Amino acid sequence: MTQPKSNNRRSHDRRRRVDAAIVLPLVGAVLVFVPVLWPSADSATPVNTSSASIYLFLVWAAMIFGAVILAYILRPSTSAEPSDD
Amino acid sequence: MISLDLLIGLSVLYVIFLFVVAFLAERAAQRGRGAWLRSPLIYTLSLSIYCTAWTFYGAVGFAARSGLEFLTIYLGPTGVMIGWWLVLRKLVQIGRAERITSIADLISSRFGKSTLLGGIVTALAVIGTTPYIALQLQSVTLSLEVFNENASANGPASIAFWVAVGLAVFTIIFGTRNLDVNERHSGVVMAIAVEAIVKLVALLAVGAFVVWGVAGGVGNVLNSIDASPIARWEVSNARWLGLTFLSAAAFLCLPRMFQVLVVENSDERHLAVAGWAFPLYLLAMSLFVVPIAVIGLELMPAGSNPDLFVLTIPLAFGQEGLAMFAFLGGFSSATSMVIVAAIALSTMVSNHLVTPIWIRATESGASVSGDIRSVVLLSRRVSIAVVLGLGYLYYWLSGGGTALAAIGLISFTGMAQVLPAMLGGLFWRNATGIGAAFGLLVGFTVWLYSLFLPSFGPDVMLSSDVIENGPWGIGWLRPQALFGVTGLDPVIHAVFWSIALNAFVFVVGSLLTSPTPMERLQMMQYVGVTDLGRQARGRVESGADSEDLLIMAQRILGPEEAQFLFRSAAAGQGLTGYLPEPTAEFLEQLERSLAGSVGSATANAMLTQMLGQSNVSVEDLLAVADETAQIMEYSSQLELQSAELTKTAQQLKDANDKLMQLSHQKDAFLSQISHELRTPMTSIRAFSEILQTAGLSAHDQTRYASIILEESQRLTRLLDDLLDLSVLENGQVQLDLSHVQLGDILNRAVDAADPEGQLKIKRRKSAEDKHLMTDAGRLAQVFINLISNARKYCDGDPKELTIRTRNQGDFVVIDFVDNGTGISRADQSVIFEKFARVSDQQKAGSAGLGLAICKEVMANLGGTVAYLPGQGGAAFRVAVPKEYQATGG
Repeated sequence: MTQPKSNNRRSHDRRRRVDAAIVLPLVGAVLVFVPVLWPSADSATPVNTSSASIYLFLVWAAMIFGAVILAYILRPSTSAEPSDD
Repeated sequence: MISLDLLIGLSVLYVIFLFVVAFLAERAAQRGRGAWLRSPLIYTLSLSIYCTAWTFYGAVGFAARSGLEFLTIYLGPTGVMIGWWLVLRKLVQIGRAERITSIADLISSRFGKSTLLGGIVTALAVIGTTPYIALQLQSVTLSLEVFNENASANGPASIAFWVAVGLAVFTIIFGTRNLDVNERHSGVVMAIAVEAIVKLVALLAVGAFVVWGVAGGVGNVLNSIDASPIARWEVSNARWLGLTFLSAAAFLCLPRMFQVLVVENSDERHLAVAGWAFPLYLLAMSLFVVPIAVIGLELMPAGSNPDLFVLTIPLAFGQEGLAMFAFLGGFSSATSMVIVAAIALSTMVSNHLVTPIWIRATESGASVSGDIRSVVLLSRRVSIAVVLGLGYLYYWLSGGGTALAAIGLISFTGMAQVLPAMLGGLFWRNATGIGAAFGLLVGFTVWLYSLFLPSFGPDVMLSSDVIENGPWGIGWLRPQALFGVTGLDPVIHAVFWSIALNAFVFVVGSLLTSPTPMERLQMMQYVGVTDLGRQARGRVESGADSEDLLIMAQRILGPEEAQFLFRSAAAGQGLTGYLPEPTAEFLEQLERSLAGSVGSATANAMLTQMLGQSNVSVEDLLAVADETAQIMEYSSQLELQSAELTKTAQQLKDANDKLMQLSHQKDAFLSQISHELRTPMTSIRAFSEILQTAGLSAHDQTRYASIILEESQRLTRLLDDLLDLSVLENGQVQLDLSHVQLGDILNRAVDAADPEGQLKIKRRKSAEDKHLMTDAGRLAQVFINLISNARKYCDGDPKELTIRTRNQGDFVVIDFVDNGTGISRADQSVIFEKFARVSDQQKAGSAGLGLAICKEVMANLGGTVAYLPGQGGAAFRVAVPKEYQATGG
């Protein structure tokens, strides 16, 4: 990080970070909407509320962790005003 | 048993504590020590007003009724926050760049500063928020009743009433102190942050007590969950998806959320922290909800209200302290929501309903009528009271019986109607104001008809016949089964149809109409905000008089800020003094500053009124130049350079003009000086000759001699002045520095300049108690000059001179304002030149060197003296450094 990089490389890095910022909520949405695929309550193998809670809170924690990383990689020095090359 | 009085006493103490917190924070911010008040942590905590009493009490009730479905309300905002880069970042950037004051302002400003759209969104917000405020009043009342088994003399309605009154007072005191919304409410935000911590800790404490104190550990709780009535995952897919979407939409659109997310945001970078910290807060708030619900269902007697488990479980186990703490947590959740919602709504009501009507009503407009600030502030205060009154009315009408979660969802659906217009405005170039207005109206109507009105129950607002069979028996218009779609949950049904029809009408309406030029300009600011620098736009250079603009700006922004704005704009244009040229850029800047106080539509309307027809002609021009505008978007860089060049050219031109002027002045000076010297010389010579002739009476001799003496004194004075001036101009002056009191110098100057008391001088001696290190004699010379000018030239009757003193950084600023007609614009630029005399009066033999000397003296003292326009009469402003500092070299 401390070594100067070429403009090309830097803008590529930046684009990757911005992509990460867009992908995180999408992945989060997919994981949160997984319960839609679960069998209904009157089926033979219903999902327990306890395991559903554990799943949802784990997904939630993972999203928060992802957002922490996002905040780190998008911190001001790297997200300075977009000035592609 | 805890008595009701104890609880009320506790609440009052708690509110006093919040007052103190808010007051201290406000004071720290005013003294510039408030940097920590604007930290990402405080920002994150302030977002927690999303978690109202609905979360604190209602989430447990929600979970007890429908299991994990309550999580949708927190997963939606989590998605918005972790995706902050996509939408929130842009909202905050626009909010700061355009000085947006509310969500109504955002929509109105994006679609060509439309007053109509601002009004629609405001009306929607007031109607949509009213049930929500009622919900908070209801929850405080319910929670008090828990402690009060023997019904007291005060009915629940009177408790709700006094809570509403108390909140109105708090909000008015801390919410309407500043007019400029961009100044932010540091006090309120700090109080909310404290409340955020109280409610989180309270809920966690109850949760921990339930899990480890009652159930005996996590394992037991999981077993209890699987044995409870909500053991199975039975959330309908439509509700899981629909409510998550709804809560995400409401998170962006609720007036109070917009207030803390966008308006109170002081730094875009705080979003990155809040992007993970706020979801973490939500997770912590939700963590113990299911355990509390399950244990409550297991242990509490059948039929007890699950909305109150947070209070009743600790009470049932004799934990009165914990219960009181939980009560405070619920009280915090309710009060913080109501305070911020009332601030946000009152800003919207005053900016988008009251002020536009008021401006239209006073046809003459902003330029003539009185102080606008007091009107706006008053209307905000009244709006706060009205909003809380409406909330109380809804509570009273609905009887306070509905489940908390149901009320909350109704409110959410109402405000979510703004979402299509907001997202379309941010990302879609072809969105038009007409499309947005129709979309909003359609969505709003569907919401009213299918959710809000039926929510009062059958036969209150809509007859049960209409609900069962549709109006006039038309089956496909049944409010809860539109177009024959039956079997859907009423909330999801309303969300689906209102948002779908709203978005559809918005898109079709936008495609069928074309944006006005003003909308096109705003579109470029909004859609392109992250990629482009700002460009000048809007108005042609007009005949607007800067002085009139200054007078208006002073009314809205207050004198100091307005003068600062005008002065720095003038400096930016390479001019001195307070009056910049009314260029397009300056008007744009002025409009944005005004928008920070009164909203963009109003600010635009005021300027348009002042500038006459010019705005219309800009629109015409723009319609022609529209194609060019498209290209201009991509050449902002070029434009910047050319602006730089223009500025340099302007400065060169100014310098050249100045040189020409100086050359003329030199010639004029020489001829002036010979004239000024010649006149007394001529009379001296003439009277000396007369004296030489014999036969004059002694009386005549004395008279002629005294004329000669007078004329030679005038000559001497003139030569003294000239000498003084040349010494000052060459900077060879010897300053006699000492420590002095400003008041003493002013006393001396007043005595010397106006010994006979012809002027009525208004001073505030207490403000003049300022210590200076300067040359007292020289400073007094300047004051004497200004005071005697007022005495000589002021044409007020009786003559009055106001001397105002105040600190400004390292300087002391002294204003001398008289009650005469002032100095015309053309003369303002020459009065500080040598031999400039505005009138032709030759009173007191002055040669017009006074102000020129003042200017040089002040330059030597390291200060300035300048003409201050827009004060009524002639006004001069002297700025003296508190400590004289020799300039290097």
